[in-house]
Amino acid sequence: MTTDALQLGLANLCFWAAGWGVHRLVAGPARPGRLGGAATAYLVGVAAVGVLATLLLLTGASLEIWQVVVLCALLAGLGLVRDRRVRPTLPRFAPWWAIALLAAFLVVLGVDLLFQPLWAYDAWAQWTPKAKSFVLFDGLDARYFQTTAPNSDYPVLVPALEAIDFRFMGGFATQVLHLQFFLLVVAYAGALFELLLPRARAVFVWALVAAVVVAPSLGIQAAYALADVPLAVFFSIAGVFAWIWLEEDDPRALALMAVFSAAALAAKNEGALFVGTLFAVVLVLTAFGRSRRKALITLAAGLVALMGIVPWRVWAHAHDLTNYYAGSALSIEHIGRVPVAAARLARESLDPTSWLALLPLALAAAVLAWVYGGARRGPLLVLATLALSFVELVLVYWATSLPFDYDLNTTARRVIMSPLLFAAVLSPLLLEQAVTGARRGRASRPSSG
Amino acid sequence: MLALPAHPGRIGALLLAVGLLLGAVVAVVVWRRLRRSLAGHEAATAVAALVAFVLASTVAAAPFVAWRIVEDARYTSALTRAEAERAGGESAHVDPEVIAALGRRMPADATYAVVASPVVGGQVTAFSQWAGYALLPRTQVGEPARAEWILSWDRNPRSLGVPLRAVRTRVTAGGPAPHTYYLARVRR
Repeated sequence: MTTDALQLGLANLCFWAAGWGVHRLVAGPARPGRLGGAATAYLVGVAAVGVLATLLLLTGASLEIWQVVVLCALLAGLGLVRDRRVRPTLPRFAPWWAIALLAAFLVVLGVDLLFQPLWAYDAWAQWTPKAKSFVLFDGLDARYFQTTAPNSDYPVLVPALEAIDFRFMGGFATQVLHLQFFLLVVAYAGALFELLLPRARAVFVWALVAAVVVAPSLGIQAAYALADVPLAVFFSIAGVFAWIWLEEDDPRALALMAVFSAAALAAKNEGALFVGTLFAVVLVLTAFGRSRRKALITLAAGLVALMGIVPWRVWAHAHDLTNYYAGSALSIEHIGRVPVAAARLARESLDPTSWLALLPLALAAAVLAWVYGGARRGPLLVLATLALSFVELVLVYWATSLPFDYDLNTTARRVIMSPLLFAAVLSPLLLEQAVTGARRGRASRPSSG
Repeated sequence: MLALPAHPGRIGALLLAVGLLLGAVVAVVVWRRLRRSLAGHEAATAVAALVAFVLASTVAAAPFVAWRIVEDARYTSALTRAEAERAGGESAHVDPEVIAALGRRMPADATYAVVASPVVGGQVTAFSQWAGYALLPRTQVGEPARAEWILSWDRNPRSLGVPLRAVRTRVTAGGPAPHTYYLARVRR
C-alpha cells in the first residue's frame, strides 16, 4: 500500500510539473501571486493533463508511463518560456494554530481515504472500470465501450486520470486510488487560499475554506471516487477566474478559466450545463458592460474550452455510445416532478449536515455586496449562475427517462455540489465588495481583518 | 465513506457539545474583532454577524465530523485487501466471490453474456455490472447466442436454447435465499 501510494504520488508530481509549466506560461511573472501559486498550478496540471489524456486516448495512445512523462515534461517546459527570475509572492495565511487544525483535519481525511474500499456503486460500475479498460486494452477500446461500459458516452477525464495512476502503481490498487481525490481536495483548499487571500480579508477566506474542508459532504463524496468532486473543483475554480476576468479585466484569468472549463466539460455530463451557463452569464455581463472586445474574447475562450468535450462527443457519436438518460424528454405529463425536484435540490443544498452554512453564506454575501457595496457584476455572476444551474438540474429531473424517485434519490446530493461550491467560493470576494464597495474592492489589497 | 457511524452515541454527543461550546467562543471573538476592524463600514454589523456565524458553525461541527471520519477509518483500515476488493459488490448485494471464481474459468479475451432468473429482478443489473468490472478484460455481449460463455444467476443456461459444451454450477447459501450460479461454455 505504501509503495502504491508513493507511485501515485509520483504521477501527481508529474501533474504538478505540467501544471507549473502551463500556469507559469499563462499567468506569467507580472503581478506575482495574483493568479495563484503551487496549489493552483497542481490543479491546472490535473485539468490540463486530464483533458490532453482524453484527447490522446482518442488518437490511440495507451497512457503508458513514458507517454505521461513526455506529455508532462512538454507542458512543464512551457513554463521555461517565461522569465524565471521572478518568484510569486506567498499569500498571507493566518495564525499557525489555524493552519495546524486545518492540516490535522485533512490528515484524518487523508488516512481514511487511503483505506477506503471502492464501494460506491457508480465508482465500480462505471468510472473505474473504464480506467481499468484503458490499461488492460492498452487504450480506448470501442468494443468494450459499446458492449460492457455503462453510460458509455460519459466523458472520460476521471477514468483517464485513474488509468495514469494505475499505470504508475503497476496494478489496480483501488483503495489507494482514493488518494487522487484527496490530493484534489487538499489542492483545492490551497488554491482557494492562493486566489482569494490577495483579494479578500483573511478572516473571510478562512471562514469559507474551513467550511468547505469540514463540510461532511465533500469528504464523503471524495470517498465515493466518482467524477463529482473533480467536476466541482474544476467548475468552482473556473468561477473564481471568471470573477477575476470580470472584475479585474485580466485576460490571463480568462485563459485559466478556459483550462478549468475544458476540464469540467471533460469530467462529467453536467459540466456542459454548468460551464455553458457560466460562459453565458459572463458574456451577458460583459455585453452589459458595453465591452464588445471583452465579449468576443470571452466567446473565443468558450470555444477553446469546448476542446475538452467536442472530440470525445464526436468519437462517442461515431461509435453509437449512449447513456441511461438517452430517452429523456420533457413531458407535460411529468410536470409534477418539477416542484418535487426543486424542493429536493434546495433541501440538499441547505442541509447543514452536508454543507454546513455554505449556501446561506453565498446567498447572504451576494445580497450584502449588492445592498451595501453597490456591486452588480459579482452578485449577478454568482446568483445568475447558481439559479440557472438549479433550473437546468430541475429540467433534467423533469425529463429523466430513469424512474424519477430513483434518479432523484441517487443523484441529487451529488449534482448540487458544483453550483453550490461555485457560489460559496466567491463569497469572500462578495463580502469584500460589501465592505469596501465594488470599485474600491477590486483595486485595493485588503488588510488582514 | 463505508462505515460512518449511524448514530452519534456518547462520544459523538460529547464532541458535538464541545464543538458547540467552542463555536460559541469563536462566534463571540470573531464578532467583536471583526466589528472593530470593520468600524466605519456600513455593512460592518451584517458582515461580522455572517462571518461569525459561518466560522462558529464550522468549528461546532468539526470535532464531530472528524470523529465520524476516524470511526470510518478504524473500520476500513482493518479490512484486508481482499475484503476491500469485495466491498463494492457486497454493498450491492451480489456475491463477488462466486463471480470471481466462475469468471476465472473464462480466458482473458473471452466474451460472455449475463442472464438471470426473473426472480432476481433488478438485481441482475448490479450482478452484470459487478461482473463487467471484476472480470475485465473479458467483455460482455447482450445476446447469449453471440457470446462465448454465459454467466447466469439462478437460471439454468440450458433453458436458453443456445447449444452448450459444458455447464458448471455453484450453489451458495449466502443472502436471503440460496442461489445457484452457472457458467456455461457456448458450443461453436
